[in-house]
Amino acid sequence: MRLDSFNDRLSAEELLDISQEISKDFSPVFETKIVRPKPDTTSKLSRKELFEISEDISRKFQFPAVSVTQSNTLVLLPVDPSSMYAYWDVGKETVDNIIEKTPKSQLTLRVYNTPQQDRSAVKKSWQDMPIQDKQRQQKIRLPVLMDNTAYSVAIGEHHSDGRFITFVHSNPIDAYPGNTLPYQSLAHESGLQTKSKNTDKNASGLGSHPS
Amino acid sequence: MMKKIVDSGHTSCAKPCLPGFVSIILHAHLPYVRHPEHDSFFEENWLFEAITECYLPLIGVLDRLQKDNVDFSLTLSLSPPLICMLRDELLQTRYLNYLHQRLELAELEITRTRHQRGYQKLARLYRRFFRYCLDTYQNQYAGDLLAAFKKHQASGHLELITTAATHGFLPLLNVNKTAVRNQIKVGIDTFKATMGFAPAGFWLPECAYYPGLETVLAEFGIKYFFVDTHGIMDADQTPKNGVYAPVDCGNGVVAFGRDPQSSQQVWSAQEGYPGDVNYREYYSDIGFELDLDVVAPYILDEKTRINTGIKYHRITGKDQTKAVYDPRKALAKAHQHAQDFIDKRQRQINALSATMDRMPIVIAPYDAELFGHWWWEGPCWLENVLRMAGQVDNNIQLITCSDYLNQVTSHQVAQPSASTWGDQGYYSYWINESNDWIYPLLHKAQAEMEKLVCDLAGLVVTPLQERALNQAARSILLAQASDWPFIMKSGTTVDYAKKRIMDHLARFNYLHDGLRKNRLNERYVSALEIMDNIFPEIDFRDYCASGSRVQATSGQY
Repeated sequence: MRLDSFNDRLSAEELLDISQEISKDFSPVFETKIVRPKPDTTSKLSRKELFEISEDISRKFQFPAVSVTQSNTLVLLPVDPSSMYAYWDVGKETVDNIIEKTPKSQLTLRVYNTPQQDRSAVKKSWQDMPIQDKQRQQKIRLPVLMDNTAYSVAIGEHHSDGRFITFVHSNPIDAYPGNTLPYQSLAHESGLQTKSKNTDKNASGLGSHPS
Repeated sequence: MMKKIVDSGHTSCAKPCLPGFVSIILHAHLPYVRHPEHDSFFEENWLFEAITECYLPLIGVLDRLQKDNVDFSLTLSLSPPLICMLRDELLQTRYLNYLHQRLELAELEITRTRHQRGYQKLARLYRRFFRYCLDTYQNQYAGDLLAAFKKHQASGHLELITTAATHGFLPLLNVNKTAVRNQIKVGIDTFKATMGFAPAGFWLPECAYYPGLETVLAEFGIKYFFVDTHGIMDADQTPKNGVYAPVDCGNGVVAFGRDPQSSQQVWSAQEGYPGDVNYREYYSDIGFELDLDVVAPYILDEKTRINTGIKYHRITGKDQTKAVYDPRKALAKAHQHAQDFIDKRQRQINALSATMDRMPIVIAPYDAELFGHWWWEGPCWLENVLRMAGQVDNNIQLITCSDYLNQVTSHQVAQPSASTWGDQGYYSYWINESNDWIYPLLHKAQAEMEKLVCDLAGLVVTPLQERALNQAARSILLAQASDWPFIMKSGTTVDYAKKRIMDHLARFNYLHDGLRKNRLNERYVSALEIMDNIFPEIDFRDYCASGSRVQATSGQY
């Protein structure tokens, strides 16, 4: 049978219908590869056993609420253009020594800022924040926001004669480029809010209904 | 997926006047919620609700557009936890139970509302909807929704991309670079193993960017990612074209910036489309409104009220008695809002084209779960937008970012600024007084995992140790999910979020301790493998600094 003999009998519409029907019924199946974990031990443990093991591990192996870091740790994290967050553990012995031997000294968190291009610069400016011996974290409001500035913090013993004996240094972090805020606005939260260009984002697929 | 031809930076195409592109991106993500240790578990409903209200309707939209030969482009980011949950047999079975329960409830509602015509009409609508879901899920796609998305990717209209392994908030994990690298690598590996190809784009969890992140993305072959508006506007070089052209981060990886206008129109609580009085009210659900004895079998433990998915009212208006939902009016409104969106994009593109040295691209990213779950009419709005944009009488061309990068090859070099798309635009939603306590715990576990893997360099591990090491890597990843600090701040299911993070860290501690002290209990390792079965292909050896992968060759641990 010659092909063109069908041309007279099938309209464009019919051809499209046939094409779509074939596509619908005979398109390759795109099965996704399903990989199972190698040791399939599902049948060996009941729900009750799984639950008991989970509870047992959670009971015995949860971290303690405090002192989770190794001694002499100081970590600095960026939060937003006007604040950072630091957590630390300088060790109980170190703190006890300060209290015992030099009662007039003060455990202090020192916030340094240096130009990003020269983080090792000797000349740094800083701001001191007294901290309590049992304290393990601190939110830090940045004293001056300057573009191209790197921040770091140190914890040490601040003596009445001005000496500062450092126990531990943090990692450096950079100020947010382009977000220089005038010093005056730092006192007002609204200064930050007006900079925010965000709407009511509900992250992670959860959150509040926009209506 | 190259579709058009480049001509000196401007694109020629079939449309008579085509001054600009619009790229719509949906990011689909849920935390890994799977509890085989319980007969049923409330939080698994997050997945079941999203499948019913978001993913199946989205597949319906894509199928209809394909059937009608509509030329559209859409990008969908599928998170690795979602990928793993969608292909999980236990959750697939439980989802079918959930769906049958919804159908049963809809049937009962049809009977209960027999003297309330308006309500009964809606009950019948829900029965039709749940039947459609069941048919699509069970008969059309045999429970494999990933196959549906993959089919549309193959058609050239849908670009699939992915995100970090458990949606970890990368800037706050970056104390340990290996942790960031591992989140990205495991995420991409999971996507590749499931889909069979590598993603060109990467969705940064919460759009959270820090300068330098592009280096890790480049290592894994990523071509582009997204940042919020201020990520581009506050870049280290002033962006010549604002957020309407991407920037090259300096290493060939390109950053696209979110358009604030198209975002505001959809997201804004005050001005956004979803707040229209004709749309369905999310918070009016029979699970909270009917007598307890009516809904008891369909709520938590037969006494704690939860959403059932059957909602009879429309938003109506502030301080007014909620009126009965009218689907016809709501769908007409969705059509009207889609037209408004297209009109505004046309005007925006016309204005931008006059001032730019290239065709503007408007980046419109949204959470996939907004469409259908929070905004019931969202899928209808999206379908209308995709249809309208495909018509020849407008100046908009929908495009995926991959297609755009195939067409436009030269970009301004600039490094974006640290940013997120969350409240206040930076990291404060994920680190504040409600959740800051998690970071010392996460960082300690990250450091211990890396040290453990490094210590194993050159040593042979037993099969049980290998399983325990892989499980330890899974535990850390699950603890790192950005969802937990987000929930703690939002105050929704705080106890659950706290328990999840503490449980995963405890599981890591158990495995770490067992490995270090050589006292692993195989029964316990098996239990953890069953409970946290995410990332079946994971290899603990990847948890090491770049370029120093552990080779298990000699010696014994």
